[in-house]
Amino acid sequence: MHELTTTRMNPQIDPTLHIWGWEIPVYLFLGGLVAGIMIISGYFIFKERYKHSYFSCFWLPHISLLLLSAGMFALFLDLEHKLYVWRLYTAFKISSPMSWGSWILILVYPTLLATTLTRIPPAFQNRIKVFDKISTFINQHPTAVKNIGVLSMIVGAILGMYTGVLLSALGARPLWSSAVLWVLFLTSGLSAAAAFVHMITDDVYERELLAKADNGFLIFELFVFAQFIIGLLSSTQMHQNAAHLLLNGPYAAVFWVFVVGMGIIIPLIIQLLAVNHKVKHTPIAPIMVIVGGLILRFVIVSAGQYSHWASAGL
Amino acid sequence: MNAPFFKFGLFGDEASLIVAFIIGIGFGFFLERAGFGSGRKLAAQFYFTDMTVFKVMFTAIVTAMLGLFWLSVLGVVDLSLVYVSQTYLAPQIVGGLILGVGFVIGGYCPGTSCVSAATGRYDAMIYILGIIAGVFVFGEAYPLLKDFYSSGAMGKVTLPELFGVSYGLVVFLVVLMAVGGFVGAEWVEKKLAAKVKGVQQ
Repeated sequence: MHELTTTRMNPQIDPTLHIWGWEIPVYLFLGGLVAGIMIISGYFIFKERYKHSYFSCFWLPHISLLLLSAGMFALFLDLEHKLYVWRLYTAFKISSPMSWGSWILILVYPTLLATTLTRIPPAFQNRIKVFDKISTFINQHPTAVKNIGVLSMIVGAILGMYTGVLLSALGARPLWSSAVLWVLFLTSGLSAAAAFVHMITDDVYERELLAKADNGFLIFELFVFAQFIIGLLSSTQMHQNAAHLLLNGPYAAVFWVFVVGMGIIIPLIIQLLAVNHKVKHTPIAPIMVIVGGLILRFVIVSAGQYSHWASAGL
Repeated sequence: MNAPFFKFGLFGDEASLIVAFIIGIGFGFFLERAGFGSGRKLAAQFYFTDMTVFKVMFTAIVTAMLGLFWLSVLGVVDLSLVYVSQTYLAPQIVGGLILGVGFVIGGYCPGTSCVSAATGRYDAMIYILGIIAGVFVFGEAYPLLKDFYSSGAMGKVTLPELFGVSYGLVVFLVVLMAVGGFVGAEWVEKKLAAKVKGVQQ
């Protein structure tokens, strides 16, 4: 057993190195979604829409707290030594993306908490006095609210970027070794968040605006995909082999059908028709975008582990 | 270039799924354009007040059949390689009846429910959840149903083989049946539509 481990000849290492299961893609997806939500809600707070009971300022930060906690739980499940998680917070290693990620997540929670306090929903008011006091104080200082909006956008952007950087820092995997992976994940996170608001908000202005924004994000995502693929194809043979895993290899069907077809192009067509009032807004296109974003993480994480420098296995 | 393309190795398993996706999108698009995204229109078929489903589906069947027949005559398609599902008479009759009952109750078949859901109809989304639940129940109950499911295996059966007649004659008879069916459908539709109008007045 010891020899099998040290010579890497076991199914956990070779040939597919499938160490990360469902937990990491789910965490990366939820992290990206929350990042997008923070940028959107931060923008609306900055634009002073918190003065009204609009969905994005009112409920979105609360929902994102739950989503991020679910993502963190998935990440926790993946840990080999769960009881030692606290050790991540005893040091900060500037060259370690994991260390960056741990500390960024520590920044995200108070930022989300601050955004929730810009408007406490009536059902939660007068429950925790400290929160009510802070909320009253914040609302007496419009500049503070604006700064919370800006902070939410910045921390959200950092979180969204980090989900991609985490993978692209692992140069041993040719598929992940791309400088645009963080752009792809940030755009996908923004797109999923815009689709999420588009799907559940009851405010017409927000629905229209976020549908239009989502169309922009989806078009941009197609360009980023093109850059990602072209970048790999114009690199070493191993990078080219990694790109072919998605283009015509074992991940081609799920990539083209679920990520590009059903996750980007079809919802983009539906939403373009919806914003031009040719068809009514329905939950279908946003659901496709959100599910497509989740499958994107699964494909990238799984195909990335499949690609390696030894043979990049096609 | 001969067809079926997949059987002749023009593309592999992965690419075949992408081709299936593109064909599926086209199929769904034309179903929607034919009005099959409406559960009311589909259910009206069972009351003979709107025969669009019959006409569209029979037109599609006849078009595909004639296309395959003439392409095989021209040597473009090798019909012996075209996939034909195996026949299990009794289980398939029971399965067809269950599907029909579901169709008339819910107003959709599996394909049209996806078409309708894509246009944002909530009843179709619930219908799809019902399909998934049904698939799950069938999967779980499979050990109990296995014997019946695989009973009466007849292998690959086609009408020309079954009746011992030529392929071309069967094609001709099906076309005649379709023409008769269209005329009959128009007549029934007019008759029942007038009757329904009379009742409403």
